[in-house]
Amino acid sequence: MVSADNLNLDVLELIFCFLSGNDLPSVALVSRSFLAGVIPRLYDSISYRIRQMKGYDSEETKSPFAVLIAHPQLAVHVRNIEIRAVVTVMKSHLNPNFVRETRLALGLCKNLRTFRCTIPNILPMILPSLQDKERLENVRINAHLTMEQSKTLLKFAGLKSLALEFASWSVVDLLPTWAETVSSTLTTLTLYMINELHESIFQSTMAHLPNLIGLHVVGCPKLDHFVVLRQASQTPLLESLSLTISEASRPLTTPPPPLSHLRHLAFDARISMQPSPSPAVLSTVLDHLKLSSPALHSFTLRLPDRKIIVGETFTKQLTENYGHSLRRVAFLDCGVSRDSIAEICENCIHLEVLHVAIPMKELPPFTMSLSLSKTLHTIVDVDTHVEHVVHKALGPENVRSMIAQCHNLRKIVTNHRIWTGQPEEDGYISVSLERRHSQSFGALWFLPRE
Amino acid sequence: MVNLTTSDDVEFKVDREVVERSVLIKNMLEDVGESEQAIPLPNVSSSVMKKVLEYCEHHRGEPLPSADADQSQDETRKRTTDISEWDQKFITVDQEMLFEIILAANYLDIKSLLDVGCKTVANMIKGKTPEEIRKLFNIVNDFTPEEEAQIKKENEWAEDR
Repeated sequence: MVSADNLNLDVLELIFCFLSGNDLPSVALVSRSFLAGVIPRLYDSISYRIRQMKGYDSEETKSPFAVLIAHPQLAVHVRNIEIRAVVTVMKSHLNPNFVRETRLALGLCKNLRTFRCTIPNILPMILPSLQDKERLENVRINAHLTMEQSKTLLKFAGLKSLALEFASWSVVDLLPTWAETVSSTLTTLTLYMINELHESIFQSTMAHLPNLIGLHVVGCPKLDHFVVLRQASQTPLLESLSLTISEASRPLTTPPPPLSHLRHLAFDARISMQPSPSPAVLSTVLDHLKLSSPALHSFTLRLPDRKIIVGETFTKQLTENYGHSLRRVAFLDCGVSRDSIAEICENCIHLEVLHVAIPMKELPPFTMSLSLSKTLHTIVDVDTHVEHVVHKALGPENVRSMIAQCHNLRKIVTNHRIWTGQPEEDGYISVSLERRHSQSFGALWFLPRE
Repeated sequence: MVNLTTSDDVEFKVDREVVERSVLIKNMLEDVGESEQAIPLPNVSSSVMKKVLEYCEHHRGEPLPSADADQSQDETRKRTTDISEWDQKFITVDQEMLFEIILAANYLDIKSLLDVGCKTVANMIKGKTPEEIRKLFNIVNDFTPEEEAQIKKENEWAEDR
């Protein structure tokens, strides 16, 4: 008789491919055959975050890197590594034992495809372990490196996507040369919070990357929207673009970049004044792109302060330009009026996902605005509730009533929860709740989402 | 029409278009051509074959997944376990039949059916403790307590709490 325990190994592996999170370590404890079947999936991706640090000093827990050193045969399965926390001693110094484990383990992972390290300090010490990774395709690093250390980066030759954060001058200086070595493979470039980067280096970097389909330049003070839009004329294949919008009132270079493939646009508006409705500069940029990029699927806007309201003239302009094509709209850290939400829901005829702060105090009128959309299926609450006020959380009754009123709405994602509702045949709406895993956090807000 | 013989010597006559959902049989037919001779399938019993053919009949004409698409899907971190309504109903069978269907789909190389079966098993496992999983599938814990403690400690990093 066939049973789960005597299925062949490759079938078990296929089954466990559909699992993630806590289910993987649970499956590992079931039996020897299940352990063998789950290992490739379990070790495919390693994410080291604050949670994983707990108990390290007291040796109650082992880091995944220590496990890889103890069982080097597991390293062949590791394809993705993400380091978002490091063990320290006396709060500021890296724990040398942890650094050693991480460096040795990285050396073992020959099949590494994705490497992310978003915290400072540790990268210089583990960088040498990364230089012989032939399959390395995606890199996101906090690149505060010295000139000597930066040279290692040139050995990452087959990259498809690269994200540099807080890069030092030496890394910036290397960018054009690096871009040349990856020019045939690189399709996505993200430059985030880099003070040292100015237009001439950016220009010679971009000259090597005519095949880019994603370009995200955010928080680099010398590269505002004037510069990025001007240089984007070198990358006609762009499908997604993020840029920082500054207040400086220079005229935009004409003609606008020919970005007919552009689908995802994100504005990071760094505006110090608090005019309301939203500053005219946003409208100017939107209009600048209107003719050259006619079919946006997603639009993301982040303002510096939630007290600044996205003006209704702006949302109206957005729906006039892109109402026929937008599927996803996100307003992060902005105030959005009810009328603006109604405008978006009514006029974006294919709208599927809306990211917006859910106003708990005004839920009924908010829901009324949402109900104007026939297609919207997911709401993502972007309010991080940082203010220390007791906040009323969304309950099952709220969810049920929202889903009942909105034609196609099925999912509401809040900070730590995912609500799903399904109308039954008798009209009753069954609501289920799952925890939103912390893995979904830590991604850069402006990057396009699935 | 293609003739198939199952492990218990039952013969099935099936439309070529239906039976070609199986990449194994599709390749066989392309290699040797259609003939009166039945294709022997010693790894599949007639009761399972009946179910498999019901699935193939329902999905006839749909495009077969390409080998490339398969690869890129493997790379996405979290794979969806959604199953369409008809498939859901189809796969609501007892555990033994479920595993038989999975094994047959694996042997016959019917990717979409294999996925439906694997997703169903994965959905049964989701959210359960190791002990609950053992109970569900009637599995004996063959670890020593020491091994169990070690595996628990070594994989604790993967828990998302």
